[in-house]
Amino acid sequence: MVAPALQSEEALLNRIRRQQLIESVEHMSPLYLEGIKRILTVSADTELISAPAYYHAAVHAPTLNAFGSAVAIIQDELGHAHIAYRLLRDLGVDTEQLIFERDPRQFKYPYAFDVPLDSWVELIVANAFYDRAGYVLLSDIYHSTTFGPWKRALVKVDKEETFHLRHGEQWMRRLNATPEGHEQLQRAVDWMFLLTVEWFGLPDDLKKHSEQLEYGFKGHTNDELRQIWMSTAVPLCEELQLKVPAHYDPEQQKYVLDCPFPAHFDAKAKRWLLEEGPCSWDDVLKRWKARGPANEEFVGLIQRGKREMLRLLEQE
Amino acid sequence: MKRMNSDAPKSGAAESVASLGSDQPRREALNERRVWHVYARRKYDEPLHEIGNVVADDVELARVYARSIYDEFPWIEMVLVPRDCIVTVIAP
Ligand SMILES: [Fe+2]
Ligand SMILES: [Fe+2]
Repeated sequence: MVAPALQSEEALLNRIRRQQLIESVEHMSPLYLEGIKRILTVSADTELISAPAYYHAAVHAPTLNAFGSAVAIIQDELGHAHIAYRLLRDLGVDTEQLIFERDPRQFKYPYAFDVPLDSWVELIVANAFYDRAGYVLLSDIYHSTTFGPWKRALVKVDKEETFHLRHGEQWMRRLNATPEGHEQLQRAVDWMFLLTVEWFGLPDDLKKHSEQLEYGFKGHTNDELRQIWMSTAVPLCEELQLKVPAHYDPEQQKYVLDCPFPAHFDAKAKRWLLEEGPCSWDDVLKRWKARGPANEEFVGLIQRGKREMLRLLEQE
Repeated sequence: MKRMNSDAPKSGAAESVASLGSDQPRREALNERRVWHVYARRKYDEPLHEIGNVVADDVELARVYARSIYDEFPWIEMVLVPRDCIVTVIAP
């Protein structure tokens, strides 16, 4: 394959200033290409890993209809992954290698998916929290991205993510009607809320990739996106009288956390070690890099099929 | 610009056939190559528009992939166009 002729940084920025979308590699500068590959990989990996992560819990569905809707959500996620990896392939990335031969620890999805969801309750809280995080991040990209093919593809993705998070909300309301259900929801929220707050990444004063804003890869900063997520996630929990360590502060006109953050997390016990006080973001990055308990299992589930088929073909 | 389209050289029909030939390593047989653009419309008074694409080496699988991946609306029409058949007249 011939290496694509890339544009200079100046030509690229001129195009962006003229409000013409970037349509293919030929319109990109080397820096833009690297950046868009990085952010697309995070998105593709996140969509992909949510399939085995959700399946792990979907098998606990309490009714056939519930199982069906959970599997429909998983099918959507695989479609979203397909879209993002297709875009990467058009940018010259070897996506077969990326998906099937990469070391599980090199996948770029949020740490939250490495902590296994073990019940129907945890799955629907994931729909309400994680899919909401996905929705917030992808809506932001939809509105601000300068990469045309992605922008157009996100119409479908946004529509389906809305359905996923409504699915989570409706099931939460339903289970919340009994004291036992409420108790189970509270237990899930206790570990899943802060994991989603953490999902949005380093706070703005520590953040590196500034081209994400210049190139329109993102419209809002990490801290702003965290606020947008809390602005609907916290009221949902308040409506259901689920305790979360965050509240709206009218004086600062934003949501503030009421506990040490960032903090150490015991992934096996699914418990925040808040009694130890706050940790540093370096500690968090270290935990993310080491990945969590289900990383190998979930990536293995994705990679297994191709390996088995290749073994079969090679025996012929 | 004289080119047929932006990626004819790397995903052309000739290459997709060659990838299934016996001189290629067997593992290549699992890597589908041909790109099909998916067009659909929801209403009779609406034109077909591009909603995405799929990769498949034969048209029957391309049909199945398009139907299962792009099921976000109850379309009244969906068609596939192989990317290597598209002739670009004005490039964006
Ligand atoms: Fe998704
Ligand atoms: Fe989703």
